[in-house]
Amino acid sequence: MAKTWYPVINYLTCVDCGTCVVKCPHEVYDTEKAPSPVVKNPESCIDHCHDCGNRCPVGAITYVGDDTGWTPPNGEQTAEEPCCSCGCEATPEKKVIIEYLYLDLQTCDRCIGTDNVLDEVMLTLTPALELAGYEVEYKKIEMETAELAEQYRFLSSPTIRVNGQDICKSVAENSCGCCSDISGTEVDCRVFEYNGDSYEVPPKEMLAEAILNAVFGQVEIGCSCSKYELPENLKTFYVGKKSKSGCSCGGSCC
Amino acid sequence: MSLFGKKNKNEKTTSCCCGGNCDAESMAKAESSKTEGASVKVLGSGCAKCNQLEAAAKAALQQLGMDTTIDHVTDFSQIAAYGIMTTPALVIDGKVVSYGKVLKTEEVIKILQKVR
Repeated sequence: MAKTWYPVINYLTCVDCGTCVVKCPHEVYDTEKAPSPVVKNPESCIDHCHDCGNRCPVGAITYVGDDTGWTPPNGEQTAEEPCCSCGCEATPEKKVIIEYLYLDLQTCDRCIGTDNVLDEVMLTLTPALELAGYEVEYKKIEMETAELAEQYRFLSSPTIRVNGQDICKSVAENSCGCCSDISGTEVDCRVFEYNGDSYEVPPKEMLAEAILNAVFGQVEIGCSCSKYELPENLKTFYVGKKSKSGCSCGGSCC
Repeated sequence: MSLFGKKNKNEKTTSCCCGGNCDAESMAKAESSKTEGASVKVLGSGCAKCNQLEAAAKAALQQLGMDTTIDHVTDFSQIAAYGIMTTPALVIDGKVVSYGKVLKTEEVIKILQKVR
């Protein structure tokens, strides 16, 4: 039997409605801070009185002390991830990391186009994934140098990865005018194959389908841990870009 | 000889802190330890998540320009005295403000701003 019993406010869900502060007859809350609930006199709280918690419209109030099996009646119960005292804390994280790896967003039509489409798709998918309890991380990384490309095991521009897995199973490329101009040499960039057609800029449906498949695991994507070597094509690009950077336009003339 | 005896006597009276009333005093101590020490405490067994919470709390205090002393309470009897069922827990000014959650720095900042 714990001596302690008083409310604990989850300030992240609390909407500052002030109901608990006003309705508590035991002066547990600091009225000066109202409508924000701040526990001022925890010792005046009545053991097992759940009045404020029952009234809270968003279920932001829980109690320390004996577990009475009571759960907040209102609001969505946020999944708590308690750290158990036994030392095992391997809670699988529901996290989605979307990475967009590209060569250039200033001039390359393909990279810019794909970027825009991916932005749109993410705008729609992110709330849905978050609703399903996933934490979404969306990163864009410019493969500025050959070193960076090697570090990311960059195969073809542009690349979209979901939790580290390329959404395209294979690399298909054709000559990219823009990137060829950037580097001054012939450079191939990615084409996306979807439903039998090839696209230089992937359609929205393709990206959405690929991301969802990758997250919900309907498609087993091949292991990407095979030996990596910077593709010849990209090597040419970086060498060309370097030698061309002396150009008046900063190497971004398309 | 009388000098030796005197010294021994002195030692005896000063060495016993509880004056034969040890139990009541130690209990009072356990209770008062809730209000003593740093105003921000992290309760937890010292596992990775508790350390994460401590780091977040420290960063939050730093950002708010507050005293960054944090007590990390690992003693289970003390944790139990707070009525905590799930760790890690965050205690500010003697009151539990969060438990069973690893708060992010900005979340701790929000809580600190509310309760202070």
